[in-house]
Amino acid sequence: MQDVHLVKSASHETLTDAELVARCLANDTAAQRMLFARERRRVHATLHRILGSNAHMEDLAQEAFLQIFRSLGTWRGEAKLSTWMDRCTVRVAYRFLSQKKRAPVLESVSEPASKTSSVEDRALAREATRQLYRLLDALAPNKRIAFVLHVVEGRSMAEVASVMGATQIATKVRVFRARHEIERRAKAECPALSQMLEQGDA
Amino acid sequence: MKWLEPVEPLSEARWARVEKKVLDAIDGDVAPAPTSRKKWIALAIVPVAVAAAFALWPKTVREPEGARIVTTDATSRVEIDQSVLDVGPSSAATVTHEPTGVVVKLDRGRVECEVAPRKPGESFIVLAGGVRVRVVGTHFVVARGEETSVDVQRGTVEVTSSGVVATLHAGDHWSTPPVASAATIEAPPPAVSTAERASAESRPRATSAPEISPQREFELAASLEKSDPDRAAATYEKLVKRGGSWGENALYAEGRLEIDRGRVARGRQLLQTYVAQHPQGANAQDARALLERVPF
Repeated sequence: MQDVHLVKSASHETLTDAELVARCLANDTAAQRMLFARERRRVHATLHRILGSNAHMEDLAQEAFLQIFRSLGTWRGEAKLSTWMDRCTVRVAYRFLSQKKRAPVLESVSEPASKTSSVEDRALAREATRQLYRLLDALAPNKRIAFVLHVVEGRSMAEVASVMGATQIATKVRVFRARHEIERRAKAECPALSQMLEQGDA
Repeated sequence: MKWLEPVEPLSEARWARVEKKVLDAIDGDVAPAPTSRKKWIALAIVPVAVAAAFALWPKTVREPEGARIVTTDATSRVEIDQSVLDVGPSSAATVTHEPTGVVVKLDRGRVECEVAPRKPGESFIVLAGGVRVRVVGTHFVVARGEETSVDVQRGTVEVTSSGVVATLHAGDHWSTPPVASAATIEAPPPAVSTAERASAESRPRATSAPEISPQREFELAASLEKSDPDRAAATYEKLVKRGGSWGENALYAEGRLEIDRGRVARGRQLLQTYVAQHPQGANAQDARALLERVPF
Protein backbone atom coordinates (compact mmCIF):
# COMPACT_ATOMS: atom_id res chain seq x y z
CA MET A 1 0.00 0.00 0.00
CA GLN A 2 2.81 2.37 0.85
CA ASP A 3 4.39 1.75 -2.54
CA VAL A 4 1.15 2.52 -4.33
CA HIS A 5 0.82 5.77 -2.45
CA LEU A 6 4.38 6.75 -3.32
CA VAL A 7 3.87 6.07 -6.98
CA LYS A 8 0.65 8.00 -7.12
CA SER A 9 2.26 10.98 -5.50
CA ALA A 10 5.40 10.87 -7.61
CA SER A 11 5.64 12.86 -10.81
CA HIS A 12 7.08 11.37 -14.00
CA GLU A 13 10.33 13.16 -13.34
CA THR A 14 10.87 11.96 -9.79
CA LEU A 15 10.90 8.22 -10.52
CA THR A 16 13.97 6.74 -12.12
CA ASP A 17 13.60 4.06 -14.75
CA ALA A 18 14.73 1.42 -12.29
CA GLU A 19 12.25 2.54 -9.65
CA LEU A 20 9.41 2.64 -12.12
CA VAL A 21 10.24 -0.82 -13.46
CA ALA A 22 10.52 -2.25 -9.97
CA ARG A 23 7.07 -0.94 -9.12
CA CYS A 24 5.59 -2.25 -12.35
CA LEU A 25 7.04 -5.66 -11.59
CA ALA A 26 5.43 -5.52 -8.18
CA ASN A 27 2.10 -5.29 -10.04
CA ASP A 28 1.61 -1.69 -9.02
CA THR A 29 -1.13 -0.57 -11.41
CA ALA A 30 -0.42 3.12 -10.92
CA ALA A 31 3.19 2.57 -11.97
CA GLN A 32 2.09 0.52 -14.97
CA ARG A 33 -0.23 3.33 -16.02
CA MET A 34 2.59 5.80 -15.56
CA LEU A 35 4.95 3.78 -17.74
CA PHE A 36 2.26 3.38 -20.37
CA ALA A 37 1.51 7.12 -20.41
CA ARG A 38 5.18 8.06 -20.47
CA GLU A 39 6.19 5.78 -23.31
CA ARG A 40 3.11 5.48 -25.50
CA ARG A 41 4.17 8.23 -27.90
CA ARG A 42 7.60 6.69 -28.35
CA VAL A 43 6.21 3.20 -28.99
CA HIS A 44 3.65 4.55 -31.41
CA ALA A 45 6.17 6.72 -33.25
CA THR A 46 8.53 3.77 -33.72
CA LEU A 47 5.74 1.56 -35.04
CA HIS A 48 4.43 4.31 -37.29
CA ARG A 49 7.82 5.12 -38.78
CA ILE A 50 8.60 1.48 -39.52
CA LEU A 51 5.19 0.40 -40.76
CA GLY A 52 3.67 3.61 -41.99
CA SER A 53 0.11 4.60 -41.40
CA ASN A 54 -2.01 1.50 -41.15
CA ALA A 55 -5.25 0.21 -39.77
CA HIS A 56 -3.57 -2.27 -37.41
CA MET A 57 -1.85 0.42 -35.38
CA GLU A 58 -4.03 0.08 -32.31
CA ASP A 59 -3.50 -3.69 -32.16
CA LEU A 60 0.22 -3.27 -32.75
CA ALA A 61 0.59 -0.72 -29.95
CA GLN A 62 -1.30 -3.08 -27.67
CA GLU A 63 0.94 -5.98 -28.66
CA ALA A 64 4.07 -3.89 -28.11
CA PHE A 65 3.01 -2.87 -24.61
CA LEU A 66 2.07 -6.43 -23.74
CA GLN A 67 5.54 -7.53 -24.81
CA ILE A 68 7.09 -4.74 -22.81
CA PHE A 69 5.20 -5.48 -19.61
CA ARG A 70 5.62 -9.24 -19.88
CA SER A 71 9.36 -8.94 -20.51
CA LEU A 72 10.01 -6.16 -18.03
CA GLY A 73 11.68 -8.61 -15.66
CA THR A 74 14.45 -9.14 -18.19
CA TRP A 75 15.48 -5.47 -18.27
CA ARG A 76 18.77 -5.34 -16.38
CA GLY A 77 19.54 -1.67 -16.62
CA GLU A 78 22.46 -2.34 -18.98
CA ALA A 79 20.69 -0.44 -21.75
CA LYS A 80 18.49 2.61 -21.28
CA LEU A 81 14.90 1.62 -20.64
CA SER A 82 13.82 3.52 -23.74
CA THR A 83 16.28 1.58 -25.91
CA TRP A 84 15.14 -1.70 -24.39
CA MET A 85 11.51 -0.76 -25.08
CA ASP A 86 12.44 0.10 -28.65
CA ARG A 87 13.79 -3.44 -29.01
CA CYS A 88 10.45 -4.90 -27.90
CA THR A 89 8.60 -2.57 -30.25
CA VAL A 90 10.86 -3.37 -33.19
CA ARG A 91 10.32 -7.08 -32.58
CA VAL A 92 6.56 -6.56 -32.82
CA ALA A 93 7.01 -4.60 -36.05
CA TYR A 94 9.36 -7.27 -37.39
CA ARG A 95 6.85 -10.04 -36.67
CA PHE A 96 4.12 -8.05 -38.35
CA LEU A 97 6.26 -7.59 -41.46
CA SER A 98 7.42 -11.20 -41.47
CA GLN A 99 3.98 -12.70 -41.36
CA LYS A 100 2.22 -13.53 -44.59
CA LYS A 101 2.70 -10.77 -47.07
CA ARG A 102 -0.03 -8.38 -46.11
CA ALA A 103 -1.57 -5.94 -48.45
CA PRO A 104 -0.88 -2.58 -46.86
CA VAL A 105 -4.02 -1.28 -45.20
CA LEU A 106 -3.58 2.44 -45.35
CA GLU A 107 -5.64 4.83 -43.37
CA SER A 108 -6.49 8.29 -44.48
CA VAL A 109 -3.36 10.39 -44.58
CA SER A 110 -3.33 13.51 -42.48
CA GLU A 111 -2.00 16.85 -43.58
CA PRO A 112 1.64 17.52 -42.78
CA ALA A 113 2.10 19.70 -39.74
CA SER A 114 4.23 22.36 -41.36
CA LYS A 115 2.31 25.61 -41.55
CA THR A 116 4.82 27.29 -43.80
CA SER A 117 4.71 24.74 -46.58
CA SER A 118 2.80 25.56 -49.68
CA VAL A 119 -0.08 23.40 -50.83
CA GLU A 120 2.14 22.05 -53.59
CA ASP A 121 4.92 21.19 -51.15
CA ARG A 122 2.53 19.35 -48.88
CA ALA A 123 1.06 17.42 -51.77
CA LEU A 124 4.55 16.48 -52.91
CA ALA A 125 5.55 15.39 -49.39
CA ARG A 126 2.40 13.31 -49.07
CA GLU A 127 2.97 11.62 -52.39
CA ALA A 128 6.65 11.03 -51.60
CA THR A 129 5.73 9.49 -48.24
CA ARG A 130 3.23 7.18 -49.91
CA GLN A 131 5.81 6.15 -52.49
CA LEU A 132 8.49 5.61 -49.85
CA TYR A 133 6.31 3.18 -47.90
CA ARG A 134 5.38 1.39 -51.10
CA LEU A 135 9.07 0.80 -51.78
CA LEU A 136 9.70 -0.14 -48.14
CA ASP A 137 7.05 -2.85 -48.52
CA ALA A 138 9.33 -4.54 -51.05
CA LEU A 139 12.31 -4.69 -48.69
CA ALA A 140 13.16 -7.50 -46.28
CA PRO A 141 11.98 -6.61 -42.75
CA ASN A 142 15.51 -6.30 -41.36
CA LYS A 143 16.60 -3.92 -44.11
CA ARG A 144 13.42 -1.92 -43.80
CA ILE A 145 13.72 -1.50 -40.05
CA ALA A 146 17.42 -0.59 -40.18
CA PHE A 147 16.77 1.95 -42.92
CA VAL A 148 13.82 3.56 -41.14
CA LEU A 149 15.53 3.81 -37.78
CA HIS A 150 18.76 5.23 -39.21
CA VAL A 151 17.73 7.25 -42.25
CA VAL A 152 14.17 8.26 -41.41
CA GLU A 153 14.44 8.61 -37.64
CA GLY A 154 18.06 9.74 -37.67
CA ARG A 155 19.26 7.35 -34.98
CA SER A 156 22.94 6.51 -34.80
CA MET A 157 24.17 3.27 -36.33
CA ALA A 158 25.20 2.07 -32.87
CA GLU A 159 21.72 2.66 -31.49
CA VAL A 160 20.05 0.94 -34.42
CA ALA A 161 22.37 -2.04 -34.01
CA SER A 162 21.56 -2.20 -30.32
CA VAL A 163 17.81 -1.96 -30.91
CA MET A 164 17.95 -4.66 -33.59
CA GLY A 165 20.30 -6.93 -31.67
CA ALA A 166 22.74 -6.95 -34.58
CA THR A 167 26.36 -5.96 -35.10
CA GLN A 168 27.08 -2.48 -36.37
CA ILE A 169 28.60 -3.94 -39.51
CA ALA A 170 25.49 -5.96 -40.29
CA THR A 171 23.35 -2.91 -39.61
CA LYS A 172 25.45 -0.74 -41.92
CA VAL A 173 25.16 -3.30 -44.67
CA ARG A 174 21.38 -3.46 -44.23
CA VAL A 175 21.07 0.33 -44.36
CA PHE A 176 23.41 0.55 -47.33
CA ARG A 177 21.48 -2.03 -49.31
CA ALA A 178 18.10 -0.59 -48.40
CA ARG A 179 19.19 2.92 -49.34
CA HIS A 180 20.64 1.67 -52.60
CA GLU A 181 17.43 -0.15 -53.45
CA ILE A 182 15.17 2.74 -52.48
CA GLU A 183 17.20 5.27 -54.46
CA ARG A 184 17.42 3.02 -57.48
CA ARG A 185 13.69 2.32 -57.57
CA ALA A 186 12.75 5.89 -56.71
CA LYS A 187 14.66 7.15 -59.74
CA ALA A 188 12.94 4.67 -61.99
CA GLU A 189 9.42 4.63 -60.60
CA CYS A 190 8.72 7.38 -58.09
CA PRO A 191 9.37 10.91 -59.33
CA ALA A 192 7.99 12.63 -56.22
CA LEU A 193 10.12 10.54 -53.89
CA SER A 194 13.16 10.91 -56.11
CA GLN A 195 12.73 14.66 -56.05
CA MET A 196 12.48 14.74 -52.26
CA LEU A 197 15.48 12.45 -51.86
CA GLU A 198 17.55 14.65 -54.13
CA GLN A 199 16.53 17.73 -52.17
CA GLY A 200 17.59 16.00 -48.98
CA ASP A 201 16.78 17.68 -45.69
CA ALA A 202 18.00 21.06 -46.71
CA MET B 1 13.95 13.16 -43.96
CA LYS B 2 12.36 16.26 -42.55
CA TRP B 3 9.90 16.35 -45.42
CA LEU B 4 8.33 13.09 -44.30
CA GLU B 5 4.85 13.43 -42.94
CA PRO B 6 4.61 13.60 -39.17
CA VAL B 7 3.45 10.66 -37.11
CA GLU B 8 -0.31 10.73 -36.91
CA PRO B 9 -1.33 10.72 -33.27
CA LEU B 10 -3.73 8.11 -31.98
CA SER B 11 -6.79 9.64 -30.39
CA GLU B 12 -7.16 9.63 -26.60
CA ALA B 13 -10.13 7.28 -26.99
CA ARG B 14 -7.98 4.77 -28.85
CA TRP B 15 -5.17 5.07 -26.32
CA ALA B 16 -7.65 4.51 -23.52
CA ARG B 17 -8.81 1.32 -25.24
CA VAL B 18 -5.23 0.11 -25.69
CA GLU B 19 -4.33 0.89 -22.08
CA LYS B 20 -7.35 -0.96 -20.73
CA LYS B 21 -6.68 -4.03 -22.85
CA VAL B 22 -3.01 -4.08 -21.89
CA LEU B 23 -3.58 -3.61 -18.16
CA ASP B 24 -6.37 -6.18 -18.15
CA ALA B 25 -4.15 -8.67 -19.96
CA ILE B 26 -1.16 -8.25 -17.67
CA ASP B 27 -3.16 -8.23 -14.46
CA GLY B 28 -0.98 -10.41 -12.24
CA ASP B 29 0.95 -11.57 -15.26
CA VAL B 30 4.05 -9.37 -15.03
CA ALA B 31 7.29 -11.24 -14.45
CA PRO B 32 8.49 -11.16 -10.84
CA ALA B 33 11.09 -8.53 -10.08
CA PRO B 34 14.51 -10.07 -10.33
CA THR B 35 16.15 -6.95 -8.99
CA SER B 36 14.41 -6.70 -5.66
CA ARG B 37 16.90 -5.94 -2.91
CA LYS B 38 15.96 -8.91 -0.74
CA LYS B 39 16.48 -11.27 -3.63
CA TRP B 40 19.90 -9.87 -4.45
CA ILE B 41 20.98 -10.07 -0.83
CA ALA B 42 20.02 -13.73 -0.89
CA LEU B 43 21.81 -14.24 -4.19
CA ALA B 44 24.93 -12.52 -2.95
CA ILE B 45 25.17 -15.18 -0.28
CA VAL B 46 24.95 -17.96 -2.85
CA PRO B 47 28.55 -17.83 -4.14
CA VAL B 48 29.88 -18.13 -0.61
CA ALA B 49 27.58 -21.03 0.03
CA VAL B 50 28.65 -22.65 -3.23
CA ALA B 51 32.32 -22.31 -2.36
CA ALA B 52 31.72 -23.81 1.05
CA ALA B 53 29.63 -26.60 -0.42
CA PHE B 54 32.31 -27.57 -2.90
CA ALA B 55 35.04 -27.49 -0.27
CA LEU B 56 33.07 -29.86 1.93
CA TRP B 57 31.29 -31.97 -0.68
CA PRO B 58 32.61 -35.51 -1.02
CA LYS B 59 33.98 -35.98 -4.51
CA THR B 60 32.00 -39.11 -5.19
CA VAL B 61 28.67 -37.53 -4.34
CA ARG B 62 26.73 -36.07 -7.20
CA GLU B 63 25.11 -32.72 -6.60
CA PRO B 64 21.49 -33.32 -7.58
CA GLU B 65 20.10 -29.84 -8.15
CA GLY B 66 23.16 -27.71 -8.94
CA ALA B 67 24.26 -24.49 -7.29
CA ARG B 68 23.07 -21.30 -8.93
CA ILE B 69 25.36 -18.26 -9.00
CA VAL B 70 23.89 -14.92 -10.03
CA THR B 71 25.96 -11.76 -9.86
CA THR B 72 25.00 -8.10 -10.06
CA ASP B 73 27.79 -5.59 -10.51
CA ALA B 74 30.72 -7.50 -9.06
CA THR B 75 32.62 -10.66 -9.85
CA SER B 76 32.10 -13.69 -7.61
CA ARG B 77 34.87 -16.22 -7.15
CA VAL B 78 34.06 -19.88 -6.58
CA GLU B 79 36.74 -22.42 -5.77
CA ILE B 80 36.00 -25.90 -7.01
CA ASP B 81 38.54 -28.46 -5.92
CA GLN B 82 41.76 -26.72 -6.96
CA SER B 83 40.15 -24.83 -9.81
CA VAL B 84 38.85 -21.29 -9.64
CA LEU B 85 35.75 -19.96 -11.36
CA ASP B 86 35.26 -16.18 -11.58
CA VAL B 87 31.67 -15.39 -12.49
CA GLY B 88 31.68 -11.90 -14.03
CA PRO B 89 29.28 -9.05 -13.32
CA SER B 90 25.67 -9.43 -14.49
CA SER B 91 26.19 -13.14 -15.08
CA ALA B 92 24.30 -16.28 -14.17
CA ALA B 93 25.72 -19.78 -14.01
CA THR B 94 24.83 -23.14 -12.52
CA VAL B 95 27.53 -25.46 -11.20
CA THR B 96 26.90 -29.18 -10.79
CA HIS B 97 29.07 -32.13 -9.89
CA GLU B 98 28.54 -34.90 -12.41
CA PRO B 99 30.09 -38.36 -12.08
CA THR B 100 32.53 -37.38 -14.84
CA GLY B 101 33.46 -34.02 -13.36
CA VAL B 102 32.30 -30.47 -12.91
CA VAL B 103 29.75 -28.91 -15.26
CA VAL B 104 29.28 -25.15 -15.37
CA LYS B 105 26.22 -24.00 -17.30
CA LEU B 106 26.57 -20.35 -18.27
CA ASP B 107 23.15 -18.79 -18.78
CA ARG B 108 24.41 -15.27 -19.45
CA GLY B 109 27.45 -13.10 -18.96
CA ARG B 110 31.00 -14.31 -18.53
CA VAL B 111 33.00 -16.87 -16.60
CA GLU B 112 36.77 -17.00 -16.31
CA CYS B 113 38.15 -20.40 -15.47
CA GLU B 114 41.51 -21.33 -14.00
CA VAL B 115 41.33 -25.08 -14.20
CA ALA B 116 43.79 -27.25 -12.38
CA PRO B 117 45.00 -30.33 -14.27
CA ARG B 118 42.32 -32.98 -14.03
CA LYS B 119 42.71 -36.62 -13.19
CA PRO B 120 42.15 -39.08 -16.02
CA GLY B 121 38.44 -39.41 -16.73
CA GLU B 122 37.61 -36.29 -14.75
CA SER B 123 36.50 -33.34 -16.84
CA PHE B 124 35.65 -29.70 -16.37
CA ILE B 125 32.98 -28.57 -18.80
CA VAL B 126 31.48 -25.17 -19.50
CA LEU B 127 28.21 -25.09 -21.45
CA ALA B 128 27.23 -21.77 -23.03
CA GLY B 129 24.15 -22.27 -25.18
CA GLY B 130 25.24 -24.37 -28.15
CA VAL B 131 28.91 -24.04 -27.25
CA ARG B 132 30.61 -26.68 -25.14
CA VAL B 133 34.04 -26.17 -23.64
CA ARG B 134 35.79 -29.21 -22.20
CA VAL B 135 39.08 -28.67 -20.52
CA VAL B 136 41.63 -30.74 -18.69
CA GLY B 137 43.84 -27.96 -17.42
CA THR B 138 44.12 -24.47 -18.83
CA HIS B 139 42.95 -20.91 -18.35
CA PHE B 140 40.23 -19.51 -20.55
CA VAL B 141 37.20 -17.22 -20.64
CA VAL B 142 33.78 -18.00 -22.07
CA ALA B 143 31.40 -15.11 -22.64
CA ARG B 144 27.79 -15.50 -23.71
CA GLY B 145 25.87 -12.54 -25.09
CA GLU B 146 24.66 -11.89 -28.62
CA GLU B 147 27.56 -14.08 -29.58
CA THR B 148 29.55 -16.65 -27.67
CA SER B 149 33.28 -16.06 -27.43
CA VAL B 150 36.28 -17.92 -26.06
CA ASP B 151 39.56 -16.29 -25.01
CA VAL B 152 42.48 -18.52 -24.09
CA GLN B 153 45.04 -17.21 -21.61
CA ARG B 154 47.04 -20.40 -21.20
CA GLY B 155 47.09 -23.81 -22.80
CA THR B 156 45.35 -24.82 -26.01
CA VAL B 157 41.74 -25.49 -26.90
CA GLU B 158 40.04 -26.69 -30.02
CA VAL B 159 36.89 -24.98 -31.21
CA THR B 160 34.52 -26.85 -33.48
CA SER B 161 31.79 -24.84 -35.12
CA SER B 162 29.64 -26.06 -38.01
CA GLY B 163 32.24 -28.70 -38.77
CA VAL B 164 35.14 -26.23 -38.90
CA VAL B 165 37.83 -26.74 -36.30
CA ALA B 166 40.03 -23.92 -35.04
CA THR B 167 42.87 -24.49 -32.63
CA LEU B 168 43.27 -21.67 -30.16
CA HIS B 169 46.50 -21.05 -28.30
CA ALA B 170 47.27 -18.63 -25.50
CA GLY B 171 46.19 -15.15 -26.51
CA ASP B 172 43.76 -16.29 -29.19
CA HIS B 173 40.16 -15.12 -29.39
CA TRP B 174 37.28 -16.98 -31.02
CA SER B 175 33.64 -16.07 -31.36
CA THR B 176 30.51 -17.32 -33.06
CA PRO B 177 28.79 -15.23 -35.70
CA PRO B 178 26.09 -12.92 -34.24
CA VAL B 179 23.51 -15.66 -34.66
CA ALA B 180 25.23 -18.38 -32.69
CA SER B 181 25.48 -21.84 -34.12
CA ALA B 182 26.04 -25.01 -32.24
CA ALA B 183 29.69 -25.50 -31.50
CA THR B 184 31.91 -27.61 -29.33
CA ILE B 185 35.23 -26.68 -27.88
CA GLU B 186 37.58 -29.25 -26.51
CA ALA B 187 40.90 -28.82 -24.87
CA PRO B 188 43.81 -31.19 -25.23
CA PRO B 189 45.83 -32.11 -22.12
CA PRO B 190 47.24 -29.16 -20.19
CA ALA B 191 50.94 -29.33 -20.77
CA VAL B 192 51.28 -29.00 -24.54
CA SER B 193 54.86 -29.28 -25.67
CA THR B 194 56.11 -27.63 -28.82
CA ALA B 195 56.27 -30.98 -30.53
CA GLU B 196 52.75 -31.84 -29.49
CA ARG B 197 51.51 -28.48 -30.65
CA ALA B 198 53.18 -28.94 -34.01
CA SER B 199 51.63 -32.35 -34.25
CA ALA B 200 48.22 -30.97 -33.38
CA GLU B 201 48.55 -28.23 -35.95
CA SER B 202 49.52 -30.69 -38.65
CA ARG B 203 46.30 -32.62 -38.25
CA PRO B 204 44.12 -32.16 -41.31
CA ARG B 205 41.07 -30.94 -39.42
CA ALA B 206 42.91 -28.39 -37.33
CA THR B 207 43.48 -24.82 -38.38
CA SER B 208 45.83 -22.43 -36.68
CA ALA B 209 43.61 -19.36 -36.92
CA PRO B 210 40.00 -18.87 -35.83
CA GLU B 211 37.56 -19.11 -38.74
CA ILE B 212 35.09 -16.39 -39.49
CA SER B 213 31.99 -17.01 -41.50
CA PRO B 214 31.71 -15.90 -45.14
CA GLN B 215 28.86 -13.63 -44.15
CA ARG B 216 31.04 -11.88 -41.60
CA GLU B 217 33.83 -11.53 -44.09
CA PHE B 218 31.43 -10.05 -46.59
CA GLU B 219 30.15 -7.57 -44.03
CA LEU B 220 33.70 -6.68 -43.12
CA ALA B 221 34.52 -6.04 -46.77
CA ALA B 222 31.40 -3.90 -47.17
CA SER B 223 32.41 -1.81 -44.20
CA LEU B 224 35.89 -1.29 -45.65
CA GLU B 225 34.77 -0.09 -49.06
CA LYS B 226 35.23 3.57 -48.26
CA SER B 227 38.17 3.48 -45.88
CA ASP B 228 40.24 0.72 -47.46
CA PRO B 229 38.87 -0.24 -50.89
CA ASP B 230 41.94 -2.33 -51.75
CA ARG B 231 41.39 -4.55 -48.76
CA ALA B 232 37.65 -4.67 -49.41
CA ALA B 233 38.27 -5.80 -52.98
CA ALA B 234 40.80 -8.39 -51.83
CA THR B 235 38.32 -9.78 -49.32
CA TYR B 236 35.59 -9.95 -51.94
CA GLU B 237 38.06 -11.70 -54.24
CA LYS B 238 38.77 -14.28 -51.56
CA LEU B 239 35.07 -14.92 -51.08
CA VAL B 240 34.55 -15.27 -54.82
CA LYS B 241 37.22 -17.96 -54.94
CA ARG B 242 35.55 -19.74 -52.06
CA GLY B 243 32.25 -19.83 -53.96
CA GLY B 244 28.81 -20.36 -52.46
CA SER B 245 26.12 -17.74 -52.05
CA TRP B 246 28.45 -15.26 -50.38
CA GLY B 247 30.91 -15.76 -53.19
CA GLU B 248 28.14 -14.87 -55.61
CA ASN B 249 27.31 -11.73 -53.64
CA ALA B 250 30.97 -10.85 -53.41
CA LEU B 251 31.45 -11.13 -57.17
CA TYR B 252 28.76 -8.52 -57.75
CA ALA B 253 29.98 -6.33 -54.88
CA GLU B 254 33.55 -6.41 -56.18
CA GLY B 255 32.40 -5.44 -59.65
CA ARG B 256 30.34 -2.57 -58.30
CA LEU B 257 33.21 -1.44 -56.07
CA GLU B 258 35.69 -1.45 -58.91
CA ILE B 259 33.39 0.69 -61.05
CA ASP B 260 32.76 3.02 -58.12
CA ARG B 261 36.47 3.67 -57.77
CA GLY B 262 37.09 4.19 -61.47
CA ARG B 263 38.41 0.77 -62.47
CA VAL B 264 35.70 0.46 -65.04
CA ALA B 265 37.19 -2.25 -67.23
CA ARG B 266 37.86 -4.52 -64.28
CA GLY B 267 34.44 -3.79 -62.81
CA ARG B 268 32.67 -4.51 -66.07
CA GLN B 269 34.58 -7.76 -66.44
CA LEU B 270 33.48 -8.87 -62.97
CA LEU B 271 29.87 -7.90 -63.56
CA GLN B 272 29.83 -9.68 -66.91
CA THR B 273 31.17 -12.77 -65.18
CA TYR B 274 28.46 -12.41 -62.56
CA VAL B 275 25.68 -12.14 -65.16
CA ALA B 276 27.07 -15.08 -67.10
CA GLN B 277 27.40 -17.30 -64.04
CA HIS B 278 24.26 -16.18 -62.23
CA PRO B 279 21.76 -14.97 -64.82
CA GLN B 280 18.94 -15.32 -62.29
CA GLY B 281 21.03 -14.19 -59.31
CA ALA B 282 19.79 -11.74 -56.71
CA ASN B 283 21.97 -9.01 -58.16
CA ALA B 284 21.67 -9.90 -61.82
CA GLN B 285 19.25 -7.11 -62.57
CA ASP B 286 21.45 -4.54 -60.86
CA ALA B 287 24.53 -5.90 -62.60
CA ARG B 288 22.90 -5.57 -66.02
CA ALA B 289 21.72 -2.06 -65.19
CA LEU B 290 25.22 -1.06 -64.14
CA LEU B 291 26.73 -2.55 -67.28
CA GLU B 292 24.31 -0.58 -69.41
CA ARG B 293 24.89 2.62 -67.51
CA VAL B 294 28.67 2.59 -67.28
CA PRO B 295 30.52 3.33 -70.55
CA PHE B 296 33.45 1.27 -71.68
